[in-house]
Amino acid sequence: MLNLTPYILGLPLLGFLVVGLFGKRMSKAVIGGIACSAILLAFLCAVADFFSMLGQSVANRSNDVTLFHWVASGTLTINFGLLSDQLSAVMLLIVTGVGFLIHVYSIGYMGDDEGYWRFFSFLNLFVFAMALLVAADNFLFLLVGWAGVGLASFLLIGFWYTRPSAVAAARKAFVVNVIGDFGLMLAIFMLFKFFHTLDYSRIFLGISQRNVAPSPLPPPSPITGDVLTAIALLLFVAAVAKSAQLPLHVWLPDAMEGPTPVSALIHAATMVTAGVYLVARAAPIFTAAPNALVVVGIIGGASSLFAATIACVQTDIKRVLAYSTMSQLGYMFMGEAAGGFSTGIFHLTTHAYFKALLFMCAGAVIHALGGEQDMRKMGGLRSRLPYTFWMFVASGLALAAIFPFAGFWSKDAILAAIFSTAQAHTNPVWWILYAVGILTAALTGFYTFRLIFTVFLGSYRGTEVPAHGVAAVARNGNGNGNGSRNDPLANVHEVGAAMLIPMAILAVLSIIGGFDGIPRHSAIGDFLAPVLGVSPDLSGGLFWFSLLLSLAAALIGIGIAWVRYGVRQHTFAPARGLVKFLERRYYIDDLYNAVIVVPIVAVGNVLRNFAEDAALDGGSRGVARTVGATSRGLRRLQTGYVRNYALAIFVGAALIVLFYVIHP
Amino acid sequence: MHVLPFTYQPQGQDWLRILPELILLAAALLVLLVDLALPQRRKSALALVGVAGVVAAFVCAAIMIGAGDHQTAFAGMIFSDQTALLADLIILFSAGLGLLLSPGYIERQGITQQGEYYALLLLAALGMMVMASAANLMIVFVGLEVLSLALYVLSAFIVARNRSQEAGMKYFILSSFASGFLLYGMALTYGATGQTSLQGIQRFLGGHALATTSGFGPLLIAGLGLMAVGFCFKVSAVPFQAWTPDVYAGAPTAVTAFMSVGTKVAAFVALARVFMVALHPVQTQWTPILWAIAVLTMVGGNVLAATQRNVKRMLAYSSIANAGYILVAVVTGTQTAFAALLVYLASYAVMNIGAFGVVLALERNDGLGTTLDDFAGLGRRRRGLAAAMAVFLFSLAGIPPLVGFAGKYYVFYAAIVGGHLELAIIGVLTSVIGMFYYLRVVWAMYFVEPQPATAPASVVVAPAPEPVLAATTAGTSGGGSGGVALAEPAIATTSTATNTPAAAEPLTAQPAHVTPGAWLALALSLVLTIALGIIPGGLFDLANRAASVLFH
Repeated sequence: MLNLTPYILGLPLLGFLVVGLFGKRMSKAVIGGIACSAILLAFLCAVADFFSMLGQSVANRSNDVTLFHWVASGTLTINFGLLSDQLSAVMLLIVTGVGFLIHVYSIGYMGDDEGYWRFFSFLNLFVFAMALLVAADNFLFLLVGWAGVGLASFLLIGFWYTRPSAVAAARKAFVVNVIGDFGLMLAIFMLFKFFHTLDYSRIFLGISQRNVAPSPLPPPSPITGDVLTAIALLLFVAAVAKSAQLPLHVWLPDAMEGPTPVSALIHAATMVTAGVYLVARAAPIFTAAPNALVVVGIIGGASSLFAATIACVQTDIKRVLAYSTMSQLGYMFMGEAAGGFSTGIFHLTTHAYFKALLFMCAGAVIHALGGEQDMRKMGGLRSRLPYTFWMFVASGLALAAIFPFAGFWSKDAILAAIFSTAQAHTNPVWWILYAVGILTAALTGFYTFRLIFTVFLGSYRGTEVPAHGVAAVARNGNGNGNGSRNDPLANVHEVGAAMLIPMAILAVLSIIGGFDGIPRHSAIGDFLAPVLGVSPDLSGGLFWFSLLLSLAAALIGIGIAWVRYGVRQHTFAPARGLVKFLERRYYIDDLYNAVIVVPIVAVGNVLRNFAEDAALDGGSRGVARTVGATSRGLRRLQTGYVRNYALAIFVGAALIVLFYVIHP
Repeated sequence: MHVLPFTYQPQGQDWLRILPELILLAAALLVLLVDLALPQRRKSALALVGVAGVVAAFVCAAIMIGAGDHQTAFAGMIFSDQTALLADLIILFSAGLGLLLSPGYIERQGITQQGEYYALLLLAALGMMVMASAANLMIVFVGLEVLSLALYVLSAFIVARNRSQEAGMKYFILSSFASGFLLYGMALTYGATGQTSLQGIQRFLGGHALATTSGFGPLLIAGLGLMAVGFCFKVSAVPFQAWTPDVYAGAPTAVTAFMSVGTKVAAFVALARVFMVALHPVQTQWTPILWAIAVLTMVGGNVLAATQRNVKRMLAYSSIANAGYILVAVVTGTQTAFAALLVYLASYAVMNIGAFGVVLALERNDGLGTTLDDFAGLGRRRRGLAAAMAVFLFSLAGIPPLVGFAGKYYVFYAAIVGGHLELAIIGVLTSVIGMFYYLRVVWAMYFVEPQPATAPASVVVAPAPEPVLAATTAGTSGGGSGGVALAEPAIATTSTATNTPAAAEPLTAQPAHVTPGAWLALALSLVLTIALGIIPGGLFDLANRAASVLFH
């Protein structure tokens, strides 16, 4: 079987190094060309891998190559190995494919930014790290990719580093993600303690033959269900942080401070999907720990509903989308929790199409309005941005899960999996989760079309004449256009081809991208089944019931949005009561600030003012002075005279002799 | 069996087993021959001849690691085992880089006898390889003398520079003195055991329970004590280190780069073979003294390096400190420790030659230009050089993922596993001092503004050397009597000695000369410093296999 995975990793890495090291002296065309072609070639490699895999019989589709021995210490042997199986193939296609489209889009979007080379080298690094994350064949290199993704997101969210808000957002994302990294590390320690290996295959083998140690050394204690539950929960901590689920979601909305292509990349292809991937990859561990799966489901469901309610009242165009991502990720986790690991991955793929497109459309709007992100100051843009409008609608329908758009099939698969699990289990939590799923579907329809209607229909509500171009975004100002006062939108026009073409491709995918997962003929489900197992599904009347119920819920949501925002101009009154509560995001950010950040800063101030200066600095200065003084003293022995040196040798020899005389 | 009979007839495979040494010898002789035919201005081609020989020997040794029979040659006189071959590889690597660094540099320093220079460098490497391969105390000594004699001359090779002359002379006198201890120790060991072969000594000691009261006990103790003195001189362990900074600072920098690494590899491998393997049965007898020496060396080397403002001299002290870390492995004495020792030597070779290579590029014709003040602002003036130097220094400081970390990690790991936790702790604590003086150079390169030129360049040409002279005389008078001997400037004059030339002469007046060969050498060490740090697995495997053969 063809295995080009090393190239899928190597090309973006090469692109990162070349652009990162020499980009400053390159022209923009060269930079964009190198960065995009690196990802394009990686994507073509992934496609070649994929079709070569399809040509194999199902039993031969997994292929593990060891590139080199990385380190061996005691019983720990870690190889740099790349696993090419169905799951990593799908993930690599998404990462490189959607990643490539976002690269192309960035050529247009970032065209007049001074940090062009920096941006593209970081983008390549991001794709490399994500590809490493999904292609690694053991948990340690998964962690390397995991941390690499965290680093790249930090660099990109804080890309406009002269804006304090961007820097703060980058720092917030990094800190929250480190909590997840810590969980992953603890999980890895436990895995090594009990399995003596970090390779997926050997760990999963060890689980399937429970208590039959996979390595020569017996485990310190039998691998009980509790152990697996602990490992699964620690892995899930990592997933929660990376995929922005409750209660570690706070970084995701702030991450909007990065340039819009970065948001698209984070939300669609690279960053937040990592958590969903991790749970799917560790499916054997989670399957063996049913209690952990319940936790996954509850967190996923809670996040899904929580984020959807907040998205209903946000007024920043990108924040609405950010919360919708969190909500959709919650769906994926619910699906995985219900045993439908492949439904989670399926939704991940369709979500990648339409969410990338939604962000690109939002970017086009922001770009056209010279950096304006407040929906209250938009409106009536449909005539000025016709392509963007229709693509926004297409992706919005996919997000709201309307037949036959991509999101419909994948969301339906997830709801079917939850329904079927609820039937099979006595635990009422699954019924609650199903209800949450339906309710969230209605909310999703509402907030998506609230966004579309507010931005594109009605009349323009902005007071200022927008300046065109992203440079205005970077300068964080609205600039001064010189359009006529009579038509404030005279300057507003559709974005260029470099941005429209990737959008068009994604629009097609948002429409047809779900057909590989038609219920009971799910190509992607069958393809992933050898790795992730068969998802629970419904049959007969229940199947139609669930399908129509979710569709009806979404349509109701859209209908309410139409009534409130579509048919007439909506005036945005200052938020009060429940709306205010939602708009303030349940006050969770404020709570974290008060409970965690403020005390830590206070303790830090106390330590700085009292402990550091006297104790720590004083101590280290004292040590330094002692060493310095000793050194200066000893230097006097270094006289430069051969006779003194010879004497030193002789004294040394004499001391040795003396030692043996005294010592018996 | 391990006695070389007078009538011994060497077999073909005996010669095959020392093929890398033979290739190097041939290269050295070839250099001398070609030297006669070349006109003076084409002499740098000799370096190419030398490099070709080194590469050939390197390839040969690399092949032999995989395909050789790893037996002893010449009736058990010399090893061709994996340890010897790995040591050969490290020595040849450093010799090759030393050769690559030399051409432009030695011409700048006014060395005309290039034929001898290159031939001696190759012969020194030959001696090192012989010493590292020796299976018999006599061969250890032969190798030691071959390498030492060549290095005495090389150290003194810059005829026009007093410090170089002084370095060669000091090295010669003190090394002869120390060789005496070593030879005497060997003789006593022979007297105690009746063997000069390392395997023979090990077998003899293994067969006899050592009782200090019995006949051979005191003889052996005295023998191993004196051998320890001799070896510790060669590896520059405290208190036998005093020659090191003076010689390293005075010798041509290309030679320093080569010998700081090569001598260490040869002497440490021989030391390890003698103490860790041959004298293993009496380990309890030699552990205390080597333990003390290791601790003294780690502390002394690091503390002394902390106040150096001359980077070349700082690196000399750092080589003492590094000898201390390697001694930790020797004291630990286990198979893992032996492997760690080999890994450390390889890592030290890679990064240390690189660091000296950068110093060499900055050194001016008068031997100055290597103080911290000269490194100030290098990050802006010479980006490539500064970045390379930063990597080497970070590696020397032991910061992952560079090779220096891999070496340190393995040595301390071996010490902890081998029951010498205290040595690991001392090693880590003293490394902290190491951070200070290594990173201070990085700090100077990137965070210190170079001192502005106070006078136009044309005016200072003549007075420039004066402050140097002043420093030397001031130091001498501080010492109390005449003579030029004073490599360590007295404390009071440090500031004037280092600051004045830098202030008087514009730093950019003499841009650093970096020949293509030197760039290649720097690039090689840089790549290996990073690559072996990230992927140390292969090196670890090689060292582990070498060690497992020796320890069965």
